[in-house]
Amino acid sequence: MNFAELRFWEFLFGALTVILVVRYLCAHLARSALATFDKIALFSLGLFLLLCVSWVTFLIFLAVAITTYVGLAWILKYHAKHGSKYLFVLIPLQILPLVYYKYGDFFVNRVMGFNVDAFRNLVIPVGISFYTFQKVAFVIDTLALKSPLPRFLDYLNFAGFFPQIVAGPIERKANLLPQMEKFRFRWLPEKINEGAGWIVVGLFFKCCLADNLAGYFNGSSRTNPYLIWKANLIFGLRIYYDFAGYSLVAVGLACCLGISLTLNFRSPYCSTSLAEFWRRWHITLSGWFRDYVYIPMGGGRVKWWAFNIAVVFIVSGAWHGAGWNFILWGALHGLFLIANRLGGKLNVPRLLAWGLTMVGSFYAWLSFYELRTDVLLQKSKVLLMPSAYNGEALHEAIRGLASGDGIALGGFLLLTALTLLVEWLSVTDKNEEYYYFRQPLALGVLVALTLLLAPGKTNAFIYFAF
Amino acid sequence: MPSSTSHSSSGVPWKTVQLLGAAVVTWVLGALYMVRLNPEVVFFHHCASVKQLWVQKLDLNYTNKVVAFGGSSCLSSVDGERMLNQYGLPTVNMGLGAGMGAIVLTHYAQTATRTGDTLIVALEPDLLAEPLRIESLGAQFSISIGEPSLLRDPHRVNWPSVLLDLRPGGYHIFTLIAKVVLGQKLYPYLVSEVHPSGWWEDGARRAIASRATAPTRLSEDGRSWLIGLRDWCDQRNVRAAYVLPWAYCKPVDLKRLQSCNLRFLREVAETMPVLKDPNLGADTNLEHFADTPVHPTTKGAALRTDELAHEIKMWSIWTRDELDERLKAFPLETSRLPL
Repeated sequence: MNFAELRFWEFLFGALTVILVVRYLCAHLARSALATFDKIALFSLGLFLLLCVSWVTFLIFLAVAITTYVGLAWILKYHAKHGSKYLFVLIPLQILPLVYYKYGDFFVNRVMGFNVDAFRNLVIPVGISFYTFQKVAFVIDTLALKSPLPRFLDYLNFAGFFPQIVAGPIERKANLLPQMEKFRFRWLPEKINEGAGWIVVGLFFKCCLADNLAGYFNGSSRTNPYLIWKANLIFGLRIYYDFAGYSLVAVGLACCLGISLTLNFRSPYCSTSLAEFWRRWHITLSGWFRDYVYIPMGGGRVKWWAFNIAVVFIVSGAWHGAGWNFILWGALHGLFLIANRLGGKLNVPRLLAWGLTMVGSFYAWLSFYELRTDVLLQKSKVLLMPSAYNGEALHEAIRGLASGDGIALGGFLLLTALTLLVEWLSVTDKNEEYYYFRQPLALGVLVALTLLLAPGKTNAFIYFAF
Repeated sequence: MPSSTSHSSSGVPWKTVQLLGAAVVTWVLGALYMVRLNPEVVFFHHCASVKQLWVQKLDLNYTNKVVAFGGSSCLSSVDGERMLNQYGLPTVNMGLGAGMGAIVLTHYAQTATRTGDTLIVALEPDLLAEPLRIESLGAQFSISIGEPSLLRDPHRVNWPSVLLDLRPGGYHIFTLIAKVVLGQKLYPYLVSEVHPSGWWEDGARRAIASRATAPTRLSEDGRSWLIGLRDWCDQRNVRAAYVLPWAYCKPVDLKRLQSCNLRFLREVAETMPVLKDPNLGADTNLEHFADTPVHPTTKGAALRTDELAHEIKMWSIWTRDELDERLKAFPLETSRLPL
């Protein structure tokens, strides 16, 4: 379910055409059943697109979805008064496939030192981290608010809404479920216009910026700090435009269907502190950790707030991948945030604050892409060694800048810088992220740039791997 | 944001229509530029016109001819006039650019091949080592010369994808802008360097920065493609053989490159005859190469042409046993080697 692939749009429009034709025919035969038909069709569309990804993805999704609903129904029916106790049974059941596929090899073979072949080379079902977290939140919210269980069909659409199922946003029950309960296929020109705008911005981010930058990422240098920074910069920009691009297309697709999803990114590279960065980066995941981990631990108003922050970010790092590097990435951000909070009262000029925030976040990206722990530590050290920043290393880094690849990379970085500038202006002038991108003329320009500059081959979305 | 649940309305989403219109106009302009003005496609378009005339001339004056095809290593290596004048072999060089991919290059050569001809398959090994697909340059060239049938392949052609391949892409646009700003040539090779037989005499001179890469294994796609081509030739009584392009390598890397080439040829020999090139596709003389490790100079092309003419006249083919014997004499190379 890669929005950047032509195949996805062919499948989607093909399936929607079938649905609308059947709906048209049904409208004459059984008008009263249209609401149910719409919901079944929407869920079937999600299942069909999941099935196009793989059988395993499809079956695991169904297993988690059904386990969640049946488990919750059982708790609400027989143990409604003490439902929260049963969270300790149901949540482990929900996350069992996630643990098996994502962390089995890491824990069993790498941490515990066993040599179990069954855990090696497991292909993680697409979207498992995202929909598992959404369903865990659904269970907690339902039990905590003691709200009734929704109809199974509405729950399935909440759990399997195709624009957001494989890479978020991780939606909450309160936002998405009521919309699903009232869902109908309707022709909504204004919503289609609005959704198309988001889709254009998302595809520009993904196809024009992220996919082009991906071709220039080279993390092979271990000793040249300039080249390591260059790799960090390209990776950091790529992952943002890749994931934000996906999320914006998801928002746009949902909008076309009349569903409002949460904006998962709000120009994070315009942040002037890392605390702000995390309010703008992968917002729905940050919100999940805030509400279901950080606040239950006491949040920021207790003496051990620093510990709480550290735990949240280490777990968040582990959510991204089963590896020490991801844990280190989370720990680094936790450390930065603790330092950020301790130094919060310092009066730092805005531009300097932005610069420091960018240095911190791009430094940390090294831990995200470098999977080999020994190499990661070596590179991290090189970046902090002033003596490594010598003329020879600089000469090596700028060699080849005049080549075709160097010129093209320069062009893409310039385009990325202009994009960031427009993001900055949107945030500062209008206090509305991506505002200027969504103006009619700008959208036309983005369409043209995407069609002219996108490379021939698309890359899978990075976050599909999580 | 109100949801679909709250209201509905009829009408046309004009802003979306306008965006779709902008997309169509941009695509048309981009495609027109790529198939009409893109300097690389213009160069190959000119090559195609020249080759077409030569094919007509040979078909008119000779019963049979030799058709050699491949990427730019073939285009710059096989001098058809020399083959004709010095060896009596009427030959057309149907080579183009490796970036077009094996599908388009092969189909293009097939358009010039008649019953009784000899088809020399000089596709670069890289083209046969990976899954075959329609490449952007191949699509642009095919449309440019008005031959979309070059893209035919029931298993691989996705027409919407082919149409999107007609776009320029960022690399092309940014490097083009840089060339215009810096006043450089828009394309390094000149149409005036293309000879009547379709041979392109590489007049560029540059230090050879990149290294030749040793071939890996024949991919499943590559194997099927060669078998299909062999069957096609058999049905039309066309004699076909594969030959490796010559590539420059340092003397110290000679054995390794030859070893990899041998292993590759052994796999190719399972699908079609392989001409017995004594150099095994490797040449250590830097003076024989112009601007890349696979583009020969005029002198290098003359040597390559002479060697190929001998091989064709003698129809000197490696037997599998001979290849196996030679393989035993070389160290086993298991990975793709930059040389």
